Amino acid sequence: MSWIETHIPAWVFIAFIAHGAILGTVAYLILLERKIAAWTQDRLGPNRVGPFGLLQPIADGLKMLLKEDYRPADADPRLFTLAPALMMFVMILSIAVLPWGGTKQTTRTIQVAGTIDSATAVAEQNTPFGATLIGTPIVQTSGEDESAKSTITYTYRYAFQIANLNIGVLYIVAILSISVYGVVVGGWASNNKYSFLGGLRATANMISYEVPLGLSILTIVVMYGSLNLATIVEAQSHYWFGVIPAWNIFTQPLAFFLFLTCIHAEANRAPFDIAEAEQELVGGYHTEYSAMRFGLFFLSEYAGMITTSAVCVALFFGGWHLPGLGGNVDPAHPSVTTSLVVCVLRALVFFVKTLIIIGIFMWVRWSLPRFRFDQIMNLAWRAMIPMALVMLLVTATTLYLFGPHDEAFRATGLITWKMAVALLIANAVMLVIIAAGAALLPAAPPTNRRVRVLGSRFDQAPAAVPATA
Amino acid sequence: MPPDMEDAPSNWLPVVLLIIIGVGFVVSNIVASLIIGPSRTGPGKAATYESGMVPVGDTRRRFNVRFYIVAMIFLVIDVDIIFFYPWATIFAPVVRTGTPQQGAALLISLLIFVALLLVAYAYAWGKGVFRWD
Repeated sequence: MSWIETHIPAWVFIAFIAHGAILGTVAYLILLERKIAAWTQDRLGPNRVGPFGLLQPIADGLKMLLKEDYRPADADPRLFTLAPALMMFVMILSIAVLPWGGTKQTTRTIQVAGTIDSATAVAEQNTPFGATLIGTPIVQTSGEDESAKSTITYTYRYAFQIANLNIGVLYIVAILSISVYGVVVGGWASNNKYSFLGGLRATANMISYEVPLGLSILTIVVMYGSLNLATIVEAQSHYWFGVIPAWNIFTQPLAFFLFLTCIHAEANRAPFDIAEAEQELVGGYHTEYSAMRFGLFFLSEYAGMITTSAVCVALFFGGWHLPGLGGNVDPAHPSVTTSLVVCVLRALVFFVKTLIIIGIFMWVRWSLPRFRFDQIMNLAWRAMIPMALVMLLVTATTLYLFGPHDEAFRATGLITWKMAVALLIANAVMLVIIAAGAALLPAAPPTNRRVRVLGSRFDQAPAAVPATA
Repeated sequence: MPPDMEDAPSNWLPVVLLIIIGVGFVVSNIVASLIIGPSRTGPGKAATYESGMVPVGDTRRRFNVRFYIVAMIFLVIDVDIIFFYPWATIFAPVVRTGTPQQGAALLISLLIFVALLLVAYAYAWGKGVFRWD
């Protein structure tokens, strides 16, 4: 066994590769976004730097570095630098728990001179750091006292992801909510009125949509009783009737649409881009930023899209699971595979699914007009939070009613087709109730009425009191 | 259910590595940009950008109170949602392996909690907290 394998854990390589891959993808997502925008608006898009504009991201990156990184005199010097740094730092940190490729299992055989007392101890010594020994090692001893040789066969497993945390989903929600600070600190430190208003609006937008985001994640968590993303993905990698993959999009479509809306709002992108509404606020919270500090804001927006889309894939689309892609060796644990190639293929499947969700982001951005501030707030507080809360109650009640009578669920904890059908019907009933209830709610007051601005020439106030002579 | 990876503090080591990568990436980028880029200043350039006009007044002033109310109501409801997480992790295992009474007790505790949350929600709605027009 080579020195690298025993001393450098696999997650070091995965961390560097995932970090590099995500930053590279971010650069090309910007090109893709510009191409999609151009296609939507019947233009050509960037096509001068390299073939089809493929070198445009490199040119953009160089420009970010070579331009002047300017700070206005009135800006707070420390906070002005801290804000973009914090945004990017948080986005790099948030990729930690994404379950890229399930669990890798390796069986090794080593030879030790002499007889040994504890095979487990020897096997543990030769297990890579961060991996878990599975089962009892098998020992075969040959030869006599002097020339005795022991052959130990042992098996270990490690998660093919950066960090296998048991609070995975909570970790991502907690880390991503720090990015609100990046926006509000950047807006405040610039000491610019556009930035300040943009920062305030972004804060209100982002914290409002964190509530339904947390609730729609809870509806998934309550089905499996685990916050570990790897566990949630593995629980989705079986089939109903032998063909339909047990992805949560089929059991919780309503929660998926709530989640998708929330991650659009969290990314501060159209139609939720009141934070940087170009026509009103110039550039929003990054009006005063230039060069790499602006670049970090820009990169973090796209990196955040990748992370939230990846969480969406892990929660609702079965993560690395693809019907037809085999390689699992343990029927009880479908995530376990002995082949490194399968792990990489699974990571690619995960990544392609993530890119499809990002495609939806871009499609939405160039199709829908921007919401007004009150529309965004009403959607979050009056519609999505009650809906998500009721979805949680409905999911818990369905589990309680069907779970104890379902032998397969009691044995394995996997969602069986009976429960899936029950959850789907519950979703449909919810949708009907929402549609009927929305019609019964009292109509909102007309929002486009004229606002009195005292003292202006549009003031509709009664005629001024006659001046006393 | 998936294999039980041991739940050790060493599971957090990758996060430490990512913190190092993150700080390194951010600091090196900002420093490189500051070193490589030009640096010229002047009174007009140092002024706050207000669409080319001479800046009017300061930004450090009072703003609409509705943002403060959003923050308060967010705190109220988001803290409640944090309390749902431990409940959500034990509900499915108890329904699977526990007695029906234990499952019912957990479900009823959820209903009571949500009812209390709805009281606060209805109060806030009645007070006009969710009016942004």
